[in-house]
Amino acid sequence: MKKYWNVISIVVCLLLLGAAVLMRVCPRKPSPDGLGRIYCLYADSKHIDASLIKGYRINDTLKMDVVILEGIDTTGWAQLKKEFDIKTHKEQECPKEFTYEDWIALDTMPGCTFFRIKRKDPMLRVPPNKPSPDDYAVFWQHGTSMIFIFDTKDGDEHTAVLYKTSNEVFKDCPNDEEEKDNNQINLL
Amino acid sequence: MNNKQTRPTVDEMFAAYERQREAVEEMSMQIESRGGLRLRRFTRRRRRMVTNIVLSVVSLAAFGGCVVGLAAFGGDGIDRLSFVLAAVVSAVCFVACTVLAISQRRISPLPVEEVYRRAQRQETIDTVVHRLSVTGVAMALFLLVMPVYGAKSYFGQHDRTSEVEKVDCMFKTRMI
Repeated sequence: MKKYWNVISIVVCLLLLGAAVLMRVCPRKPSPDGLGRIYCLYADSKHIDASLIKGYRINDTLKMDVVILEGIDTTGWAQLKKEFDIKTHKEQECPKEFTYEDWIALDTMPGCTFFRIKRKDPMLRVPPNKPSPDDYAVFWQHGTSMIFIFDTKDGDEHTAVLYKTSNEVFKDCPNDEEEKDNNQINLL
Repeated sequence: MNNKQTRPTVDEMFAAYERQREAVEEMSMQIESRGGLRLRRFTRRRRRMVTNIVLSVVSLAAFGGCVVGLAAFGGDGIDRLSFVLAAVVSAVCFVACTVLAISQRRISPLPVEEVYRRAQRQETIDTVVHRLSVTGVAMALFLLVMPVYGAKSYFGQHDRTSEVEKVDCMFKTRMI
């Protein structure tokens, strides 16, 4: 009986060792469903740096996956702009209430633009006031070549992401409560 | 005449004495061996009880480690799975070791013969559960160490912290 236990212990140890080696050797690839699909599309690109954050904390109760796509060079950024239909202010028509200089200056100001895209086709924009489980929330940070794609599954998650945006901006400015409220109304 | 016939001879008496002496010796040997077995078994039970208490404490610590680990590094799928598995294994081991330790603390009020009769069966069950517990605790510790090691190298390789900082930074910019 003692002999058998020795053999069993050795087998268990070998299995554990094998599991450890497998865990180290096997690449960690996200599932090709959902946001993982977008990550997999750009993961091997030379011009685009793709990162997937599992369970980014939005607030105390909500965590969601985020994909960051960053154009490493102009080719990568051009590809991202084309595929996600992103236009800088310079590339858009200047509205009447702005002067042209003020309008293109927005590109270099710290800020971000929000839009929603269809899960199946990132080129297709969705009205941001009608969030649905079939689309993602996307932020483009101005002055950088980065876009952030949030895996929002319903209206509540959509609202939470937008609330975090406005809340984080005004967190350090307690006197700007009125502006914060206005900002939230505009967002929603 | 009859009295002469029924009266045992010296040889017969000596033979009867020898038989009695052998029977007594055999009985005393039996008692000694059973007593020794019981003593050995009792010592083994005590040793196992101590081992089970130690295992119980280790598995409880492992369970605590799993909870802390889950809170600290449990964000990624494979690590979370490992932590949850380690927590389940260590919790089962904790219960098994505690129950074994408590059951081994009790000294059986049964007579020697009954203890002797039941010994084989109970001994086998105890041994199997004990050895499974030892393997379980080892496995829980292994599962606990792996994700911590894995998470460390994961953060090192992919610099996940800086990616999170990028998102945090984006949230701090105004929406235009």
